[in-house]
Amino acid sequence: MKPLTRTFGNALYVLPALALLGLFVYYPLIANIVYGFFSFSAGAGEMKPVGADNFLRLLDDPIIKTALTNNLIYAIVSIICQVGGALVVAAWLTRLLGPRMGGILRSVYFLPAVISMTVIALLFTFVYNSRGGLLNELLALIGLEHLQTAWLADVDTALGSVIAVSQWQSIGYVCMLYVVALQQIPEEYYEAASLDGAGRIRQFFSITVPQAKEMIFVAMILTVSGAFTVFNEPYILTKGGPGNTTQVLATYMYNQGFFQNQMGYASAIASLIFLITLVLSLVQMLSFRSGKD
Amino acid sequence: MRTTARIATAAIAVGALIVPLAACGSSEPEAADGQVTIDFFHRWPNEPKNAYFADLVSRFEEENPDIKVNVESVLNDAYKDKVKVVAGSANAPDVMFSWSGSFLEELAKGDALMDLGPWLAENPELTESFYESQLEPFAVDGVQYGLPIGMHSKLFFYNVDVFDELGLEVPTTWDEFIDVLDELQGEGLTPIEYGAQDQWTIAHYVGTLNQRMLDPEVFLADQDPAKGEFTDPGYVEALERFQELSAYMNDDMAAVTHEIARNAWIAGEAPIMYMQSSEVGYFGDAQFEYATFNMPSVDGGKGDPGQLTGAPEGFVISKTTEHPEEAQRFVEFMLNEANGVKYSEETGELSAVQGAVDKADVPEISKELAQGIVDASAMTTWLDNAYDPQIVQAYLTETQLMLGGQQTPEGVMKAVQDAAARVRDAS
Amino acid sequence: MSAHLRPLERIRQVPVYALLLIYAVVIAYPLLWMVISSFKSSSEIFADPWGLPSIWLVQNYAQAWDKGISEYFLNSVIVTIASTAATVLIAALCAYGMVRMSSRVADVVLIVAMGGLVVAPQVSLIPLYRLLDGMGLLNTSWAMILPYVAFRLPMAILLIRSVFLGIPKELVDAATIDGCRSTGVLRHVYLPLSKSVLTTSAVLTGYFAWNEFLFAIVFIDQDSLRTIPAGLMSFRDALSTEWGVLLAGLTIAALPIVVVFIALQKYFVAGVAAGSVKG
Repeated sequence: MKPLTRTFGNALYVLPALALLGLFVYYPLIANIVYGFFSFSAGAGEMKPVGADNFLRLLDDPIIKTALTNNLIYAIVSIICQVGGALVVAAWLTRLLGPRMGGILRSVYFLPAVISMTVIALLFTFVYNSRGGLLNELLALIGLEHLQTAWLADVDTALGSVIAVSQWQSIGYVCMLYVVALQQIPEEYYEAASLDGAGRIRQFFSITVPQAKEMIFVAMILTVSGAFTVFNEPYILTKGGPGNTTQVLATYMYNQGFFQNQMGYASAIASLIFLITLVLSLVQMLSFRSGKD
Repeated sequence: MRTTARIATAAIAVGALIVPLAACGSSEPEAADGQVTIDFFHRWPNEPKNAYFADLVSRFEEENPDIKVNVESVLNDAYKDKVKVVAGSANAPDVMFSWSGSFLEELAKGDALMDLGPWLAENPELTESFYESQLEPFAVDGVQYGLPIGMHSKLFFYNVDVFDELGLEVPTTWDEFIDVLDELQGEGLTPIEYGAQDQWTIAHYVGTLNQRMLDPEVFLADQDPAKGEFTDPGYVEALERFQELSAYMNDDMAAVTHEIARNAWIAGEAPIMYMQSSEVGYFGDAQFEYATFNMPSVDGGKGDPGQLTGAPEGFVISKTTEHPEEAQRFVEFMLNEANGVKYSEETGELSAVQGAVDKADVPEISKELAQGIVDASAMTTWLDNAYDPQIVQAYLTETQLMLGGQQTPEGVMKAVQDAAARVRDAS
Repeated sequence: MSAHLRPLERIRQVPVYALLLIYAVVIAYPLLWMVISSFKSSSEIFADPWGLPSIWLVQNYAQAWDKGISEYFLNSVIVTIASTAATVLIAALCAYGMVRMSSRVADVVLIVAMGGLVVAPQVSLIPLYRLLDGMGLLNTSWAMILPYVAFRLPMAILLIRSVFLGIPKELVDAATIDGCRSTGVLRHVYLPLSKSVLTTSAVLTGYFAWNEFLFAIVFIDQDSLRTIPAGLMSFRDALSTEWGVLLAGLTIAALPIVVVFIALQKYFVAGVAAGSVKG
């Protein structure tokens, strides 16, 4: 084969992928930064240069602070429930239940992950409804009427209610990942530990967790980047309200770009989101690497 | 030879994208030969207007076989967003719904709308078929951009039976109003039903209270994006009045939509609700007699105590339309008297076509309300159409928090002033 | 498998069993409620949330179907299949090119692909909006398919490449001697040996495309092109207070994928796990 033809041919193979990646994934990163220096709206208007105003506004804007805090809370809760909680559940499923029961429950837990988030979010507007919604009715049933509230409209409960819906959908997904990983752990390890006198909890921390390290790392990355880019749940359930209590970076970006005619500012917010997820990914990857060695 | 094979492979990859798309269809629906297709975009995907417009379109297509009308509709807030985005571009719908006020002005200033002047000059009967006062809000700087389809006013609708039972009289001053509310609350009732989940309902209350409290000149001046400051203490007072009223409303107002609240009022759960005159069309199931009263005068207020809040809604034609004549024919059909009557009868709206409501088979109260609008010397436009979206968003979001006890009236106005400063800078 | 618990231990674990059961109820009950309530009238849904419908309003389903669910479903199917097919094909071609080229150049391509993993689609919203607008692709199915493919390529490339790397040179040589050109080798050697990873990539991409929401609501205006996630939002708007019909629509939207999941559980699990381990 002539080397030149071969190179050319190989280039052709990778071209479609590179073209798509370049245009739709990488170009927007640069475009965001450029757009950040302008002020314009979504329609056929002109782009007014505004210097660094949009970026400076990121530092001042109280709503950015609120959104960022909300994303952070999202991340913390998700890590506890999904990275942590799902591992515990997976351990229970694989170690305490037979394959059939474990398999059934695992599928049940995974079910929400298969269903579109729109369906789930709309379903939960019924669950959280202040007049006759499932949650309030349940509280009444077990004698806790005083806890009833307008879950999605009360500033104290809105964020928690939204985050809860995300956990409801995702714990089962991460649990599934863990079960696959845990099933790889040889039974002998546990038997040996048990012979040494280690109880179940001890076994969990000294065998299960270390053996599942890779999967834990994966779950961390998924969960954390998901928490900082989350859009669907807050948008569908509360649109960022009441006030801005459930506003997150992605919903604020959408709101500014398409409802407030501030596409330049929205681009600046997008750059911020990217920066955060990039830094977090790098930090996690580096610490995992060093942990491995 | 080998290179050809590779090129072919690359082509297949691209083809994998194209073939399914041929099946998906493009954004232009199929039209028969010689047929012109126009796009019609309105904001009512729900009933009864959805069915009304669908019927209107099919009747129009019957009478005009050379025109096909493609109908799209998106609800309220989403509509505001979508239209702003497509207006002025080549994709703009030919005929679009528009509120009067800042929404229209934005579109006009963005050079997105067709100047209807020449067309109307050739058709004076068309111009004269509307109430003058309803045509005016659709003109910007003297240029007519839209035609009105419905007139609106916002009033307190109340349960006459309950009032009679308790011997209550319709209040005209704020103090009388509070007395009435106290009495109702004393009887164990929730006096006012309110759904604040949709932010526009806040705009209606606050907008009216602002008009009552503020000096008309200040009120008007602040509507100019280049000058609006919102520093007048009247704004804070208006919000305080709103807070006062909220004590008489249902606790879960932030969680309830306007529609759910309306259903509750119709079911007789609360005697008073602030609604638009056109909502009479929904009251079919009400088991009690109802009537209206305007927002009372507010002591210390500098605005006209009897002014009505409300503004017409209508339709505009895109400047970039490829079928101006057909678009005009459609608009003319939609707004003729026969359809005006039908509109009033089937949707409960008050047609802006002169005499249409009178001729229509609608409840007497609707005719009275229509007359009230026609007779009004001046009307206050909706707050969410009076200012730049950034100001509106700050205003409504913070006031929503205020209703929940998480913000003060002063805090709301501070946020509004900040937004106004940004808007002034950008003008 | 380790469920060989002695009776004493079993009793000690009862609280755990209870928790797992409660959790299962928390997951399953809302879904069950959704299905049951979809047969109720609007007022009955809130008036009597726990009971069975007094009359089973099957017409709610007919109404939901007519009001657009059927369209949204079809659009989702079309967009998902197109995105999946294109992604797997383009990723396979790319991976193939990478195993054939010099390792230095291949590494560059690899980094470009891996870099794509870090970018969240949401970040690209505004520039993609303007890009698609400029290309005249807004409000067409392109507007969803192209970005979906682009954002799923990194993962697919990584997965497929890792399998391709493992294919022994002898097989390639044998095929070449038999007269296969490069595309022939791809078709007759690499692809058949990668069926599993190709399926995994397809499952992952399909899952993403089926559930994608943001681009679906921003890039598409026309109801006739909307996929399920976006369509349900306008569906909700159109129905305002017809709760029963809305729930029927939600059920219709969710049911097929649930059925598919139950039938193809094995592949789902393999796909989800493999995709994440390599990532």
